[in-house]
Amino acid sequence: MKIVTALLITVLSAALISFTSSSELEIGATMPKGDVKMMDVSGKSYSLNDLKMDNGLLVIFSCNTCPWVIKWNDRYNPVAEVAKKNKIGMVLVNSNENYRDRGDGMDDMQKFAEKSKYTMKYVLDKNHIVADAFGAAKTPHVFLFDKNGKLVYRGAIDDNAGDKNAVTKPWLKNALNAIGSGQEVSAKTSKSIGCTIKRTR
Amino acid sequence: MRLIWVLCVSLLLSCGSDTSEKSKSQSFSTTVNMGPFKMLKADQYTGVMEQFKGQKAVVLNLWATWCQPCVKEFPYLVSLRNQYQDDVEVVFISFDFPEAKTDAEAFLKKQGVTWDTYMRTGNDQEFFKVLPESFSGALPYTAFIAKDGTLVKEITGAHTKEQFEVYFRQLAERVTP
Repeated sequence: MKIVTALLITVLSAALISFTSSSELEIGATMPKGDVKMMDVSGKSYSLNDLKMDNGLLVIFSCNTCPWVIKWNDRYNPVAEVAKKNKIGMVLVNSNENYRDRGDGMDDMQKFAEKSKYTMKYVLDKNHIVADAFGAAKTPHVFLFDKNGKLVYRGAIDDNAGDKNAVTKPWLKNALNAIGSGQEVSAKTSKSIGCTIKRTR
Repeated sequence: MRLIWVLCVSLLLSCGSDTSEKSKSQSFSTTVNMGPFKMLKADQYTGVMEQFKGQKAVVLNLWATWCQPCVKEFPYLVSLRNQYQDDVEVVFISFDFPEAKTDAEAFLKKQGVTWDTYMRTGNDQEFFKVLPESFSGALPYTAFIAKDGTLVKEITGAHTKEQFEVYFRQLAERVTP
């Protein structure tokens, strides 16, 4: 009977673990889905490869409806400046397919981009294909690739969503400056609270 | 040996099947009773979780009033906690912004949460050090922890009552080796 019980526990544990969702892209991984074209708020379509610059590409999964995006939104344009200075492209990706009729449709994205005076591309990831390939879990969720298209930083913008003047760890800016000057990123991952990406499945 | 395989397959199939037949229908409570709503610092988290070790399995749910999927699934967890409370405790930790404490409290009251519940206070980075390592920061997050303290399942995003009940039942029936 003990053997039966042990077997059942093993099988059940395996079954439970098998339901675990896909994980985030690992540091050092190659940028996936680089050729997928996504519609920008300007009406033009771009792939990640189109937007990559000499020293890499910054991808932030974002949206219009998450309070954490709203809190960090005042840092998007300053981050874009740092990225540009370091010859790194930047794109915001909206993968909230299940909220297209609840504030995350293209019309809403256009209004939000205009209101926020975004200086970077803001594209719609149809059917969250890119988010799935990245293992992106939330908004905002940052993925930074170097000039070879390898992931060098993943996580949060900084350690204080509510107050940009109280930031003590500007992780993303540090990572942008590091790869812009050919140095290794010291803090390669970080975490923050955020909203789940609203997938349709 | 054949019996073992039949048992294993039956149990596995039951994981993915509709369990609503076995679910007790419980209407959404609107009682005004409410348990203590405590502010929780990161260094107090382990103590809260440890109190149940060896006594009950724990379902940890991280939520916030700003999080629509959290709000949607919340009553399912309350209902299942009331159904399985002899074997399973639900620990709710609110990750609301400090200014929304009153909203969170009103929500808990409306939901009929009659046991201790928590709101995190302090730096989120300190919480990432004590929460399960694979927690990405996306809410809602639910972890299923066996009576012996083993983390057996983590899920992110909204789930149905039937999906939750599979794990509640497995926690309640789990045999400690």
